[in-house]
Amino acid sequence: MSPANLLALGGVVVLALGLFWPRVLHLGTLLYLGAALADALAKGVFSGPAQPALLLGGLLALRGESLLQRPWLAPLRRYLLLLALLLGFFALKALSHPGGAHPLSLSLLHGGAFLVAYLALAVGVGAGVMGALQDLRLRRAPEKALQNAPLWSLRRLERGYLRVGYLAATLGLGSGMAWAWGYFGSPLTLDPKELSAFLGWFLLTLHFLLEERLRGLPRAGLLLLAYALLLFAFLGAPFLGSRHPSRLIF
Amino acid sequence: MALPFYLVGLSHKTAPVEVRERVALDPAVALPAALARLGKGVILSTCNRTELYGVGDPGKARALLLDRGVEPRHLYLKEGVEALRHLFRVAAGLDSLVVGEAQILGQVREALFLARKHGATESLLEKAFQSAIALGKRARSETGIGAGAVSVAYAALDLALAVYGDLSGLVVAVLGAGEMAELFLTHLKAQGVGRVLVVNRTEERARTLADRFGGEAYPLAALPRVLAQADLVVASAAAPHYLVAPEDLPKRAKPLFLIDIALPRNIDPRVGRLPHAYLYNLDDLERVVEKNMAARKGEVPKVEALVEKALADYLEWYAGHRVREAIKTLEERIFREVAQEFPQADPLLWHKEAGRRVHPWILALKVGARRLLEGPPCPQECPLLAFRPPRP
Repeated sequence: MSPANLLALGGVVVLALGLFWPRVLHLGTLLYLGAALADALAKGVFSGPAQPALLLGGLLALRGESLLQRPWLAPLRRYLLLLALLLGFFALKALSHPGGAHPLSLSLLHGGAFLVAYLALAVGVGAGVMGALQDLRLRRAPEKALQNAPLWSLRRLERGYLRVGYLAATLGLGSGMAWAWGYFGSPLTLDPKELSAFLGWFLLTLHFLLEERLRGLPRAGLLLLAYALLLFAFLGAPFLGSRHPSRLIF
Repeated sequence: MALPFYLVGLSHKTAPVEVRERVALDPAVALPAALARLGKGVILSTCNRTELYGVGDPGKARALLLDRGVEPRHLYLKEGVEALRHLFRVAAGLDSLVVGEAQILGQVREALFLARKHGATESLLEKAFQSAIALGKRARSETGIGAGAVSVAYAALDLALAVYGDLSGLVVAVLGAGEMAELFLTHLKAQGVGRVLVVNRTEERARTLADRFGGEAYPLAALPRVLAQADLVVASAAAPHYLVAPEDLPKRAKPLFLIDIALPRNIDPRVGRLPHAYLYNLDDLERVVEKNMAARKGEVPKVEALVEKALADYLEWYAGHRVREAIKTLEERIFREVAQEFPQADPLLWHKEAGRRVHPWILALKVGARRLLEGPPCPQECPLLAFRPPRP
């Protein structure tokens, strides 16, 4: 087992403990970031999907830890930690991959933009879904809304993070398409990874266009679907095998 | 020997308000005088109950209440464990008009402090009240007996907090300048709201209310201008038609929280369908209150269990306390008898003498102790007897 694997495994265990003892979340983040660094030193920066997954997982755990000061946002914290754990498991699977030979500038721009997008969207979508449900409670059963996170706090979180996430996803998607066009003559192919990323981005665009009209469950559903598609592009599609002209698995 | 604890009193369950207000003891004058007459005791006097707790004979306490013009049918007398259970239930909020209300715990604490101040407590009472206060805190922290608003005004406040989280700095618009508007403003001001805008048909009345809360007064014609600035709207004006329609509210990103407590209503119900508006009327608020009350009632068995546990703890302490008291009595008797035999000696020097030689006091102590322990150690029934091995 490589040092990166060991560190990532330790990070997963510590973050799992962090669900019950939040004080150890810092350590979990450090282990994730350490694993990403060890992998980068061994294979090169962003040479495979494990590094962004570890980086993203670590930063999500750190954001979750920062929510400790706001107890009414505990569901959001748990969701971010579970997402960080999922990314950790994915990284453990992906660390064995030898890594692709992408140009460094593309890796940094495309990978970096999507890293920011995933991070911001994870928080924004979580807050958005919680906000949509709170809106539903306030309208249909106000007595049930009293024990949940305040609507306006969630809306403010949602707006800021979704906007940053959307902009970063647009940059990531645009840079990836431009690169693909230059190399393969087509910005989009029938590749599950590309299609799911594009569809996720499209649903996010739809969310912003219909922001005024969408409320309650449809709003929560649209946000969740958009994020699920983007997450699938990152974590799920690689396991289906590539139909991309580059023949890269990840 | 039974627990010599008693309670004489009346409450909202046994006496109407006219009787309760006659008996209520003013903490500055009447209550200290009553404590002085009672000797040892604690008096809990609130708007819903006047209860006298003491140890020994309840006659004095009963006479004290009867002298204030209470009919015997309004009084209840509880003794021993029942009196203690009643005190614990009162402190836990189970005996209150609104189950789980928080004020009673502070009032129990105040009653104990006042009794202490006038030297009216003794060990059994002190321990009982301390246990009751601890139980009251525990009931509220470990169960949901005190959770949720149980008045319309607090329910509205809770809903506003569910929308905004923090009300500080928000702009409040109040339609109408009546008592309800004032009540809501008092609660909202306590939460740190910012500007207060009062709109009323009579601007003078609006100004009077606005001045009390450091706000601004507007005539009814300025309502659209006020609504454009408001984050929270409380409508309680007497008007035969709707004063606020959906068209009056501008589009905004921030939520708009509206409470309509007027009858007939001031706000068109269609306002509630606007994406940014959250409109509640009296029925909604009462539904919140009912749900909270039901939730509190559901917590009663948990609190009853805590009461029984506290009762058991107290009785265990009391058993030990009786033994300690009996030992103390024995020591005092032996001390007295030995001191009578050697009146010229200073008992404080016993231990010094004992270190040097067998002093006649020590011998006398041994002989005296043997003689005393031959018979029953206490003149009456004593818990020490329970710990002596059975005689063959």
